[in-house]
Amino acid sequence: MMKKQALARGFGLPISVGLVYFFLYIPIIVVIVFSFNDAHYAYVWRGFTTRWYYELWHSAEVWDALTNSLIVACSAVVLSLTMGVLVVWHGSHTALARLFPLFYGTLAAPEIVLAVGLLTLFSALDVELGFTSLIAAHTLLGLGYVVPMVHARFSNLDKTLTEASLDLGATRGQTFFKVILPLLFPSLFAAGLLVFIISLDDFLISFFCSGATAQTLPMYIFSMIRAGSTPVVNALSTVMLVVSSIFVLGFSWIQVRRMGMRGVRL
Amino acid sequence: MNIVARIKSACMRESSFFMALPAFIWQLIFLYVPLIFVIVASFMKVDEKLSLGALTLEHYASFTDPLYWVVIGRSLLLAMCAAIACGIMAYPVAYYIALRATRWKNVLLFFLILPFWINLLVQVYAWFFVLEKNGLVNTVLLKLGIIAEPLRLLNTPFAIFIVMLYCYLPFMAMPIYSILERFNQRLIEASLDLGATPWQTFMRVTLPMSLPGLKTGFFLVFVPSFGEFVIPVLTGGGKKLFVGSMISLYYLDAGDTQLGAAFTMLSGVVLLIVSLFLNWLFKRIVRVSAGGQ
Amino acid sequence: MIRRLLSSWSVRCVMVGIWTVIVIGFLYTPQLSHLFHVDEIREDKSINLFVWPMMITAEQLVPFEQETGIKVYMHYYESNEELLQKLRVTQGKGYDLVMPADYIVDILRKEKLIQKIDTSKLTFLKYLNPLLLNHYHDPGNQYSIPYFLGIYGLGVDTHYFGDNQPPATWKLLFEHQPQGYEVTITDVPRRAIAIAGKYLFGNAQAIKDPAKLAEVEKLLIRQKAWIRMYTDIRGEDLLATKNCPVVMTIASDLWMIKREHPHLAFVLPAEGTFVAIDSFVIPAASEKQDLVYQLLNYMYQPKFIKYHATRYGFCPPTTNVDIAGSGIFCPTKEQFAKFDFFQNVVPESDLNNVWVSVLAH
Repeated sequence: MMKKQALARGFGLPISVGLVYFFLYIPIIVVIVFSFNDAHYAYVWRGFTTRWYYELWHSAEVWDALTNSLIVACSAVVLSLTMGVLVVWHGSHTALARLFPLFYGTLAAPEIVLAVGLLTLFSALDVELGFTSLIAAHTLLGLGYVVPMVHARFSNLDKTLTEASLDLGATRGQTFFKVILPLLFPSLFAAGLLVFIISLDDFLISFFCSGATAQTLPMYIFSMIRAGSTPVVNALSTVMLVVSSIFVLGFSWIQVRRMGMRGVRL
Repeated sequence: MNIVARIKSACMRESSFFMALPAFIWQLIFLYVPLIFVIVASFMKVDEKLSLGALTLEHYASFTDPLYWVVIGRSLLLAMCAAIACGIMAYPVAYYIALRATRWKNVLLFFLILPFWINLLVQVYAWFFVLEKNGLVNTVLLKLGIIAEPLRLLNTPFAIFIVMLYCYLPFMAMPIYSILERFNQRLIEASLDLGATPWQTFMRVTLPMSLPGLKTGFFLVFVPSFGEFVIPVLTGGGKKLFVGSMISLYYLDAGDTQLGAAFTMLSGVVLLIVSLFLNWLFKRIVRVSAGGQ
Repeated sequence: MIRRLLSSWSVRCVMVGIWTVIVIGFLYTPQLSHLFHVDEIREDKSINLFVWPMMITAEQLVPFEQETGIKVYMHYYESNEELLQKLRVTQGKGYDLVMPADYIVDILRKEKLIQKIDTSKLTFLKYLNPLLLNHYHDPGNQYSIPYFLGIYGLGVDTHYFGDNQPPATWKLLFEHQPQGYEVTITDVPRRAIAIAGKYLFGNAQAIKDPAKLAEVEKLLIRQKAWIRMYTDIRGEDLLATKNCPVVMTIASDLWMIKREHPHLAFVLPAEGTFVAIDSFVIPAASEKQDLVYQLLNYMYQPKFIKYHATRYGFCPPTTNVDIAGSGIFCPTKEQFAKFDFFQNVVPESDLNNVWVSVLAH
């Protein structure tokens, strides 16, 4: 009796964990499987085909949307990382340091409020909606991640490092580039990757603030889903899934390597 | 000192300020100024062009209609349920990966995080295939003979709830995992050595110490779910309005930005009050559980 | 000391000012680039097209792009209301050719957001179907060229009803049916309210009366109980997957899905129905009229029209296209005379109030 109870307790946790993973992956598997379905509308399996991938590859709209998404994402990453690093390094010892909590506002506000606010701002300023407005919005999102993350890591660094470096005769610039930046690199990389993915994924803000020239990939997917359309969306989803996996794998691999190489955690 | 020299020296002194400024300016212009615009717009009279109309409370007056409160209440309920359900589902997984799994830790973590990287729209779309009338769930249940007629799962509150749960699960799992990962396992050992059962150890030691992670996860799910727009629209069939879809209705379809702004303000304030209350509640729970040790 | 502080703060203010100008300047770069490259714009051979997703296939424009060197960028809108909003907010800047529905053309014309079309530049006008011309929204068709005719009706799953095919009436949607099945209606407030109004009162203008509008609101709220979904585009999907045996649909959408599911039928309700004519218009702010006229001449060639009509199932706007045997529904003059348009009888704000009320209950 005790053994059965103990066994049950022992297996209870793994089973519930397994169920959660099952829950997480069933929809994904179904999407992948049905991307090979030879039918237009129904969710019923008709036959195997790879023609949706072919159609995807040849769809000019998908490539345009993807290009737009990439341009916006890369710009947002560059801008937010640059400004974020600058603000953390230069701002930490000025009066501005007390204003850092301002950057938490982006995450605190529901995204729809952000989207609506930005739309209001852009129409009030009579700004032409397009790449620049999207990049501006995504950079804002990016700052909301970059600044807290980099600031947290920077605060954890030993303050004496900067002092020691300056004492040894390095200029502030040299201190920054040779000492601080390499130490900040992991969080910069993590933040940059995060901002990149968030920007690629972002739908709501793009939906509200899009102009004539920039339709992003998520917006394209949304209109295709709304139209109840073909398994091309499945094919696109599968491709995106594979790409995301590669990203996450690469990211984790880099993390593991770094942890292995550095015995010391600063 | 003459003016030029004074300015030069001031510039040199303030060079750090200058370099640190762009991020703040960006944040101000794109987050706080728009919020101010929205607040101001909510008090503006409806005007043909966007010129400054007279200030008025007429938009807020229309909120005596219970309609709006039903929508807000519905969103609050959904957000609460989603957050609580996420907590219940995510905790065991985070616990297992952080404290139990040794060999498979990285693999499990990878597969836990992966859905987070999938586009939200793709996640929602995937659930169509599961919940549809000829979808996975119905096909399986029919084949097993558990039901005679296919169940209607899509375009119901259930569908919205499930998809919310699915999309927000990683947001809850990660903070809990990261706090449990730093957990000192010796405390568990010590507790067991002192004679406590595993369950007691969990309730008295592990759970209280992981509460900060639970709290972070809770708010990471609760706040965005409240204003969620995509999931209720796509899975709910547009039959019931939530805060997100209502705001979108006003801004994009109806073009009534003033009323939309007022409603945004209203929901924002409600969210803030509820969040502050929940935050206080969490603090009390932490205090109580800490006191109980 | 004070002097030092003062100069500190004034320098700081100036710095804030500099960065603010830079950031806002960043926002205005597209407009600034337009200013500086005015000549380039004339040379800039591209057209921004803003249409409903299932109207024009981008690949079909490739020969046009190769022949003329003009690049066509396609953009899609989700709803006519969204289109109107965007045009009002951006004053039409950024788009060169837009395809709104007739009631939007009416508004755009009155708000001077679209420009007159130079008919001398177009070669196909004599082939346009006269049934689509000279309506309330654009007498004489000075501003718009019709392209797509959307005819509202019922989509019926004949297999579900078997031997008891239902009568052709809107009752199937607006009254609870004994079989207890669910239906869909359009999610566009104006259209749903107009159709409900016509069903209740027999004519499209009745809802001008606020009391009658309130009746329509009550009907729509009552109807919610057996509404599966509010949608204009997924109705056929639900029909084909056997979720709903009757849906509100557009003739062309049903034609498309009928190809794979022949048991689905399009039914014109006896009480009469509504149509929407989607036409090409040129926003007032566009300066690429010459390029646009070239594109229009290309698009109205019989080959192009036939491809799209037989792909998306709509009645061709030109008479020199042969679609015999395709099964596409083209209304006769008599049938067309009984159709109503979704005219602007009630102010938008009232329509929206009713719709918000319906959705929120």
